[in-house]
Amino acid sequence: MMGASNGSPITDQQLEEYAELTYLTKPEIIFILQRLLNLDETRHFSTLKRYPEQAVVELFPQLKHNPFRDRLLYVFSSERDDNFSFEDLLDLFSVLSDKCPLQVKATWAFQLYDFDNDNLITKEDIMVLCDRLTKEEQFSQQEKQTIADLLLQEMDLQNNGNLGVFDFVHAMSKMPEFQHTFSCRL
Amino acid sequence: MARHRTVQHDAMCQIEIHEGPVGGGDRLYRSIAANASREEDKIEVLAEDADGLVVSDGGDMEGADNPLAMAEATSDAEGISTEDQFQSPSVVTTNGVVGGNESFSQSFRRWSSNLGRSVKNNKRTVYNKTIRLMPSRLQKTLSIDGDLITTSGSDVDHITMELEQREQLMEDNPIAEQLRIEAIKSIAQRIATKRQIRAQLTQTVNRRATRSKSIGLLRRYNYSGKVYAARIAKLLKSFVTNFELFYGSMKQIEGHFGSRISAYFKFLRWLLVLDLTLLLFIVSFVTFPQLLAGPTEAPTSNTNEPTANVRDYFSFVDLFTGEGYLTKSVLYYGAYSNQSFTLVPGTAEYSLPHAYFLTITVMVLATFIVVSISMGRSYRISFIEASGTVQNILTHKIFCSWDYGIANEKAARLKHATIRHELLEQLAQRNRPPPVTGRWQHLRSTALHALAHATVLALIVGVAASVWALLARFGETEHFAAWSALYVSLLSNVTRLVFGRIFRMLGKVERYRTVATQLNIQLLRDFLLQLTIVGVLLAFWLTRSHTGCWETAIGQELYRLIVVDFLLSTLLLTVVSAVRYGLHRRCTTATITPPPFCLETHSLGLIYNQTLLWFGLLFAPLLVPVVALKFLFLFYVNKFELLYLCQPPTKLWRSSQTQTLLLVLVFVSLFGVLLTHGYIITQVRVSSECGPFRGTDYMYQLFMQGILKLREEHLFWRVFVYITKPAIIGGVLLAMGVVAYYLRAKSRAQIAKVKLLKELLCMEAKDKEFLLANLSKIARGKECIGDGFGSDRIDGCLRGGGLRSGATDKYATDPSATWRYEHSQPTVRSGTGTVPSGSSLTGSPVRGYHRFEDEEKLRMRRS
Repeated sequence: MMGASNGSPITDQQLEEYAELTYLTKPEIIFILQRLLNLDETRHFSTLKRYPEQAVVELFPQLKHNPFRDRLLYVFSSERDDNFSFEDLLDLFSVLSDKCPLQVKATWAFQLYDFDNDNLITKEDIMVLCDRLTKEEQFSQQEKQTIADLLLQEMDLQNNGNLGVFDFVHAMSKMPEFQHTFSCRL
Repeated sequence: MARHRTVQHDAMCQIEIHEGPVGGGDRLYRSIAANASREEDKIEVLAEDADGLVVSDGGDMEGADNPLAMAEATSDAEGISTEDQFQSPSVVTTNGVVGGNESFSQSFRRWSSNLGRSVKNNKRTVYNKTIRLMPSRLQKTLSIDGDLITTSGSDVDHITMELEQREQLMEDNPIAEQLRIEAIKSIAQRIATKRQIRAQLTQTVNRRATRSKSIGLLRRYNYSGKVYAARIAKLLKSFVTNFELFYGSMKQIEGHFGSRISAYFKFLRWLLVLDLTLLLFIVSFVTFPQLLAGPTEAPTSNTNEPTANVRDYFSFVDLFTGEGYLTKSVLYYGAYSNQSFTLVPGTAEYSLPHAYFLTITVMVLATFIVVSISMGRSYRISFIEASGTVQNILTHKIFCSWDYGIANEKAARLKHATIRHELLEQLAQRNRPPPVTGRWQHLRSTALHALAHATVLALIVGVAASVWALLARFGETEHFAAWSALYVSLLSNVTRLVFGRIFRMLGKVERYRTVATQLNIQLLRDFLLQLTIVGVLLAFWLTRSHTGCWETAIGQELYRLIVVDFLLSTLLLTVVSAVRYGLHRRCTTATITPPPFCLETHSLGLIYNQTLLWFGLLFAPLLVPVVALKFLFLFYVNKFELLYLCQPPTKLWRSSQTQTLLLVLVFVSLFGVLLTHGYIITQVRVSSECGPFRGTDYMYQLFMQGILKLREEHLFWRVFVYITKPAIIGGVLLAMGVVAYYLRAKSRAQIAKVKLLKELLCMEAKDKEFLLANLSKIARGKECIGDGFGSDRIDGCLRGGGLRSGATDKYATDPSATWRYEHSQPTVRSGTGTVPSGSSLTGSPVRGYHRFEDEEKLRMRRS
């Protein structure tokens, strides 16, 4: 996996492949790569090398201030060890890219907001979500309960008290703003 | 998922029938499986899956004869021409069933087998008839955008298999390859997984390709042409994205304020790009040739010139008044020549009047089309597709509230506070007792609103009248000094700003229930005011007696309006905010807040400028660079203001809807401009001393002369006469009316269908609940609902999906449905395993109510 030629850590073919598999453009991929290279003192780059979470977060201010930072890291870390490889980062920014279609974004967002990883967004998940959104001054239990109830009333088409992936994606596809808020520039 | 589910449904329907003659299907399957050697492992994966689903069939079903897997194998092995093979299993099965008893369950099975077959056939024929015949681009959007995430599987093999079922993805040509890349991109999986999927798909395609015959030469050229086109498009796209205008600034703004504020800047950028395109065309087709041809020979200009302020030297004041030296420059209509000339000797003539007329008309029309299209798209996305968003306020506030672009500590804190505030407000609104809906209350609020509207209208009318009166009093007088020319524009701009403030204060008194309503009404009022002022000015200019070069005069007025607006609303207001901010910093008491950044006012300002520009295009073609420069400057001024002076708006307003409204306003003003242009071109006499159209009475005559030169029998002439016949125009209008009616009816039908489908979804959820309850009951060793019905009943419960099941239960819950009493012979079945007391009950007739609607429901599900 080491770069073929001296200097460039990934080959042209790899770059082409990444551009075909993600929604990122080549300059964006190279940008991410350069950021990671700066991180690496050993000059020993490989696409599989994993970097610790803290270092990655420092590189990208968008991640640093995000209340769902840990979830993003959890969902996109391919080995769920809170370490990030180059490809994991590409995955992350591909989803957050402007060109990624809304449905794809929503599918990932579902995983992101599913805090207990049970493939359903339940009332508890929504309450955690509220806490994270308001960060410092949190709502009381009662208020969160109300919000969760109302939200489920709006989104839960099947009336079964939780949201599946399809419910969620469907609801999000009715929200044109979601495309813009769930994206960031590199 | 939808597709996945239907496939499995088919599988379930057919599996039941296999119990008799297992042999036929099985043998067929084996023979095919032998052919498709590599597919074996995949098929097993799926076979297990299907087994898990139809577990109730137990002993009868050996995992091997799984029609789904078989279909899979067939289609894999034979590629496209599997039609006959595809049907064979169901043929075998129907034969097998005929011999059996005429019990209900069997008739049901036969019916379901027929259903399964017809579904399959229908799907195929419909697919062949529709999607296949569509142009490739449409096909692409339909198939890829339509159902992006049909892959529900989580492992590589599963997803690969589902992708392989789509034939248009698996063809061996460049278009299919593009489609494949797009499809793989859209899978919500990691890069490593996608890579594997791609490798597998490529393998499959290559294997199939060796069997298909080689493509013809023509087709090959066609393909390679398309590939090159796609490559070039890709290159251009990457070029455009790489050189995105103001990329750094946009990123900074987004990082500080999120996507809502950056929407305003995007709007500004969009207008700027539009103007730059306009500039390119106008300069290259109109101004540049004029400059090359040299100044007009000015036949009689210096004898009795009405405009006194023409000078041959440039003075600084001219920049503001647009007069003096500039009067004779290419900035205005008057300077353009009415002659044709040859730029390079020996080549064709270049007719400047035609170029002038055509460039401007075509550009305005093209802009109109662009604006209409983007308005339509924006409207579709934010209002039609998001239908019923009115109720989904909370969804929006929770799931769309955090901006992932925020990259700044302060901004993040502000965002948290805003979200909290909005949510609290929402909760308070819920908890608040519904407003007293007494007659008096209602009357009072209605009266208040009516009064406010009346006041605003009266104010606007008053403004219009006074502007007219002032123009009539002072507009005609000669300019004594150069600066006095600025009076009119100063007046109108100040009026616009002042009355905008007054309306805003009025809006606060009115107290609308929702902020959005207030905002929109505010926007509309401001816009109406703007439109009125511009309209009055135009009407005055066009109706006054035309002496001298009146076109240039109007151009100058417009120039002054734009310059003064720049001075006032851009520079002066920024200075005011800076002063206010300075005071805010000085006196730390909370008396003076930092100035707010009002997005609506700024956006309306943009629309105002753009309207003036579009209108002025005819009279002053080089207003375009002026406005473009202004917008460029405005971008940086606004950015500075936002970053350092103003407090960002703290409302989580729905940017896409406001954006749509703004586009609608742009559309309306552009439409007005088009109408006015049409009036000017056909009804207003051009001045006889200057400009490209001197020598004709009306602008359109230039064009008509060209047509009249044609012989009487010329095709164009005949077509023209034919088209302008009243009958044809009436017919076209009628047809448009019919189309509009049809579309309206269609949209109504779609709304109804959406409603119906939602209800269906609810019912389905109930079905699922019921089935799950039954399942757990049986697992605990109890019986299905309806004790007396016994084993067959349970079979029905588990096998027939939620359709036939729980008839008694449903009868209780839904008495309004149509029911049918069914009396059928019992089936002799044994070894159903799951039911302990099954054998004792066989022999009793099966009775039950069955809903007619179930068939309806199935049909719905199929579609």
